[in-house]
Amino acid sequence: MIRFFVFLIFLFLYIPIAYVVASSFMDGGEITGKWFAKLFEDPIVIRSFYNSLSLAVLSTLFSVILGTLAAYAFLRTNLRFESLFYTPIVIPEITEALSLLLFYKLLSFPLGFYSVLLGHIAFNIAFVFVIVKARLSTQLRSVEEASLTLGANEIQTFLRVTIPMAMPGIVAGSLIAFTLSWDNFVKTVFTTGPGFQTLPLLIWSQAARGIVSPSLNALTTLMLLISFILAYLYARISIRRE
Amino acid sequence: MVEFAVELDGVCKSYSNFEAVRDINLKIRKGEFFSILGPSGSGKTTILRLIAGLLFPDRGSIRLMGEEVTSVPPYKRNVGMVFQELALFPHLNVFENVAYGLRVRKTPEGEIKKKVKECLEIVNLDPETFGKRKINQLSGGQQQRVAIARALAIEPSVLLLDEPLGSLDMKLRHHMMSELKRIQKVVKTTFVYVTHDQSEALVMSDRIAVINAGRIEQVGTPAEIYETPATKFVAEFIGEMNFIPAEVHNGGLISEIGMMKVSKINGAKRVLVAIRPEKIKLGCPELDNVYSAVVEEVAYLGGFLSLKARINGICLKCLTSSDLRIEENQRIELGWRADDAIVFEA
Amino acid sequence: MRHFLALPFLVYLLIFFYIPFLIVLLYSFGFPSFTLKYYSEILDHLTLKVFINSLILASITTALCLFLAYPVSYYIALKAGKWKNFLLILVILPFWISFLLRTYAIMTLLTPLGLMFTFPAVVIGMVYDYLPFMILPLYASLERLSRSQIDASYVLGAKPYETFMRVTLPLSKPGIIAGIILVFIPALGEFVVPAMLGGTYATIGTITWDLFLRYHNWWKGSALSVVYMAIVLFAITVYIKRSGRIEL
Repeated sequence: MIRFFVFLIFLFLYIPIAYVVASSFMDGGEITGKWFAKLFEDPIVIRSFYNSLSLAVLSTLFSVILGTLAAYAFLRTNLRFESLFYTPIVIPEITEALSLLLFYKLLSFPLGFYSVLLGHIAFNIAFVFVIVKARLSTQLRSVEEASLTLGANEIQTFLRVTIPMAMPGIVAGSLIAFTLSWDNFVKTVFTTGPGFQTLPLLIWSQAARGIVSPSLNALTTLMLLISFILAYLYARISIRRE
Repeated sequence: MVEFAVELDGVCKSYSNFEAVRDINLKIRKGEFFSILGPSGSGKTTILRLIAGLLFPDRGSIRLMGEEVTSVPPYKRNVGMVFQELALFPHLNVFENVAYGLRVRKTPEGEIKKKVKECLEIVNLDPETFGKRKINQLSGGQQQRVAIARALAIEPSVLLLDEPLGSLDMKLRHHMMSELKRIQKVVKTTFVYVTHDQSEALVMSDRIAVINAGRIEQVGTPAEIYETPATKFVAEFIGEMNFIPAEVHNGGLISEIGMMKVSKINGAKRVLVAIRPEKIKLGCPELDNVYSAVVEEVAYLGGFLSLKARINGICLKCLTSSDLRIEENQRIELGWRADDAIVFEA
Repeated sequence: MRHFLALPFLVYLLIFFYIPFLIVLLYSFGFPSFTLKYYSEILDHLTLKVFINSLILASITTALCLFLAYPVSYYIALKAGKWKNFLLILVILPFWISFLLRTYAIMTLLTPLGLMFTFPAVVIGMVYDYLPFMILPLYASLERLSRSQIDASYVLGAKPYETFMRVTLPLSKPGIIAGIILVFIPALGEFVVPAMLGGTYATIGTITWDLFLRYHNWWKGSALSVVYMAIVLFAITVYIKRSGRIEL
């Protein structure tokens, strides 16, 4: 009986997703790819896609650098007050988003690409920090020392030992940071200005009015696909680590 | 020609709130298998890290092969180190692990190949079979061998080993002990071996430094350390020892078990007389010290019997041949030679 | 010396995370002047109603998630056998999809069912989005419980029901608390789900949106956020005190 119940729960979790994906390929009773073709012809979609992508790539780059350095510093020394580093993870996103909005308003910082990017980084670095730190080998310190005794100086050791050993964590942190930025909505909507639109904002602008449409389904399917690819990559590197 | 591979002269090192080692003077001869033996937290790893250059002393100086290296960074010291956690490079295969030190020295490729092969052979790992393996595909004993080969590849002036056998099981540990001894004979490098395990130190070493609470208690050959411990700590830490409190009266010793004869007495009034269990003999009335005792406990150890015998308030451990038939509560006669007892200040 | 490597990180968080929070605090007291009127304003009956709405919604969501998730976590942790990893992946996968997309997905089903813009629609959407957040911590605590602890209870004469009540349930309590916190806190301030599925059902999330993005009333919006944050910080502090740390 419990088995049947569990089965129903998983149906509940996955039927909506399956339904969106299926209906994005349907036109009446026919299977079609035309909704996707339409997407790729729509200049607003292309523009938003480009915006989302550059946002995700840049915020990943910066948050991985800052977060990894901090995680490394944490491993090497006895820094305290760790909770100061990951507070952004436990604070509800909407609170964070509105406080950034006020911050920008107070400074008269123009709202648009840069305001959104800076906000995304603030949110992502905490995640990168936690993930990289969890994956940094506790043995890293003694392996670095081994490298020093073998004649490699600090810079050689950093390039030949530290970076390669931290790589799984850095890759995992990058994937998480990319995902968080790629489909972020709340933070983006609060800190964006006129003229800067991302894919989630595009979906929101129609879905918020209760509109369900085939082209929206296609767009959602596309974003789901990218999320699944990222999740798959993450799972692969995590499993290889075992 | 330099006589000493490592010289420590008045070396002190403190951490923020405690003194790790104090006034360490050590001269380790070239080609020697030298052990630093002490309980955990005694500062023995600190000494090793000071030699490696992973720590720098607050005071004192360090020389390697006669050369002053007190403030030289580790990568310019050319010491090999085998870490307690082994610290192998998980992202490199066996060959590249061993080649690492040569690569950063920009050694030509052909020479690297030759040297790595040679070092893997020294530690009994077949270069063909193991060269391409990942570190996590190796057993604990094999990882141990790679760590040693990696440290030997740079032809270090001294090889430092930080409790490398700690994580191995009993059987493998005994095997690796004779392996280390063999490797040392082959490469003729100075080995400095840190351990808390006295049997490792006694079996392998040419000389041992016993260290306690950041200070050296005694330096000597295994036999010297065992037979003539310089301090009460050494006597207690190495092997089994019975201690009998006694007082000096008119040049003789009086204790709870009666009068005692010893070969020499130091100046103190209250002393501890130390005697090894195996030096206590049963039923030999001609010995210098003979007492009547009651057997409290008998444990059969195969070739030996381990006894606990009580003389008044003092309980002594004795080791004797298992040919004797001894039972609990039996009254026995035991004794020892005056030369076998060591006297310490109480 | 190495801890300077954490400096850029901390400076960044200070500027883009901690200082903005101080600004919210300032605005809630009427910046640039000083007044408590915005706090008294959010106590009016309309805003109070919103708080109550949010509490009701978050409570129902949390309770439903707990009852639906427990059997699932129990099954994955103790009964799934070779399916365990596969089912775990199915639970974790939704974490990689944003609430916006998942809410849109359930919307495509609610629309033909004619449920849109009703309270049940909001509840279904909330449970749909938050269920994985409950399954995972419950699973983690049940996973730690070993099969032999349950067997020991059977051998000692406890029936399955008694074993569940006396062994399984008490031992999974840390997971239950973690799950409740992970669902209740964000659910309380949830904006996307009620905004997309609920029509006029106002919550802390939707009214925050209105105050900031529609009426530009920074001051009242800030006061509301400060009160919400106070609730959140209280809950998190209690949780950290109990469990010692936060697990991801």
